[in-house]
Amino acid sequence: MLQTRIQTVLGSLDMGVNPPLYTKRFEKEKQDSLVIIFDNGIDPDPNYSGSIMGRLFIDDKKNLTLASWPLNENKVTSWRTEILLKNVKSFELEFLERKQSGNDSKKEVIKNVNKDYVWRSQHMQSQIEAPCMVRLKVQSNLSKKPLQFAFHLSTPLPLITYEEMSL
Amino acid sequence: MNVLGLVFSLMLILSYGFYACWDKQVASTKVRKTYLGHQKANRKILNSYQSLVYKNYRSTTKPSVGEETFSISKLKKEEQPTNYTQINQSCAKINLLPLIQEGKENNQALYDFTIHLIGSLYKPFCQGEKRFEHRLLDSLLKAAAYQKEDFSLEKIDLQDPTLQKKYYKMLKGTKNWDLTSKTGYPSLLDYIKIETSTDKICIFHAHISLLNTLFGDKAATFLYDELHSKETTALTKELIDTACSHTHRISPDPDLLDLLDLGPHHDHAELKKTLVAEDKASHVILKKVVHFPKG
Repeated sequence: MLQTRIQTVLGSLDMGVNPPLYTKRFEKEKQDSLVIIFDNGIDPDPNYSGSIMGRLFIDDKKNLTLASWPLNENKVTSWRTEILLKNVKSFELEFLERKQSGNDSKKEVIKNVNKDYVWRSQHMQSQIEAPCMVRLKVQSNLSKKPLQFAFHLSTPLPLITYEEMSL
Repeated sequence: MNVLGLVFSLMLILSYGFYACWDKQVASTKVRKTYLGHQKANRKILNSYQSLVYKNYRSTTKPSVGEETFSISKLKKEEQPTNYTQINQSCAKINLLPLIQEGKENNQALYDFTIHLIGSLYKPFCQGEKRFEHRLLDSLLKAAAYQKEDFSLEKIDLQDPTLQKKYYKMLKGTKNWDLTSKTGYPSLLDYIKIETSTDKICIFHAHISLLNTLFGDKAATFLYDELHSKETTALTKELIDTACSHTHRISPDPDLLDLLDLGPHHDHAELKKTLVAEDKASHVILKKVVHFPKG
């Protein structure tokens, strides 16, 4: 459920919006939430069809939750919540993206992949280019071993590694 | 007697237990199969998307000396037809914007064609209600007129719960749609669009069902085969006349022909495209709109 739903959401990012996903720390929360603008397809409620906004976070009852609401509403009158996993202690996100200087925050963890790409623990709203892969690590209260997932994104960022051969 | 009763009750308990286990096993197998199907279909879409992005990048490079005769469009033309049968491409969709902005009186041919298309593709809805297609299209145009710019068809609220439910079903389409056996119906989103563009309907990238609505079954098949043969490079009025005369059909109205993109075949530079992937083992079909980088 968790993996399929997040894969569906991340695989349907609305690339017409900049940025289609970012991390943000909300008030009274201990960790960052992931905010996503994605194409929800066709829904019986027209407000929830097409592009909508989603937020992945841990709610008060320790559930990993995906909340979603219509994108073009000035006043949010209703929203939907989906519990993806219960008894969650924390979750971590990592974003594979092109190396850029000047966007590093002090709390951010950056792991180099090669000279062009890095894994970052945050994806700020100011970063227009969407990452090409997202890793999710979920720490449950029930087990010591965390659940780990990797999601490919349909982003225009080319990830083609090749070597030129001399003929 | 008591022993027999005990045996029967034990058998009953065991059979209940076995059924519960078996039911759980079947359910988990189904979930696993669907999950794997989704993953496989997702992977297929991702692969197709990456191939298309790579092709776009490659087409921007200049050909080196001695390679002028080789062009990407020629390559695409040679390898294409299989994709066209899958889905009605974005360039072949009917743009409803003129109807919204200028009204149906000024675009009678477009209005009639859309009505005819809805009537022929969504027969299960039209059979239950007289002039359903007129009511739906009129409500759609009326609701769309109040929308802000840059809206999508699936976000339209028709203000009529019964009609909205039918509209939702039409937008979704059925999982199994077969034109030949006339089972199910396609997604309406594959046939209509609303966008600020003056481009005409591209028949080269149209699904056979759209041609059926325009020219009738036999002429459509003739025309479709002609258009996708290697010899045909352009859609002309003469070719349409030939297709119609071959099948003893009257040529379409000039106003209707004016909606079509007559001329040579060309690939459309699109910023987004709908990709379809199927996992045959689990019958999972995924359809996704993907975006391409500008430039």
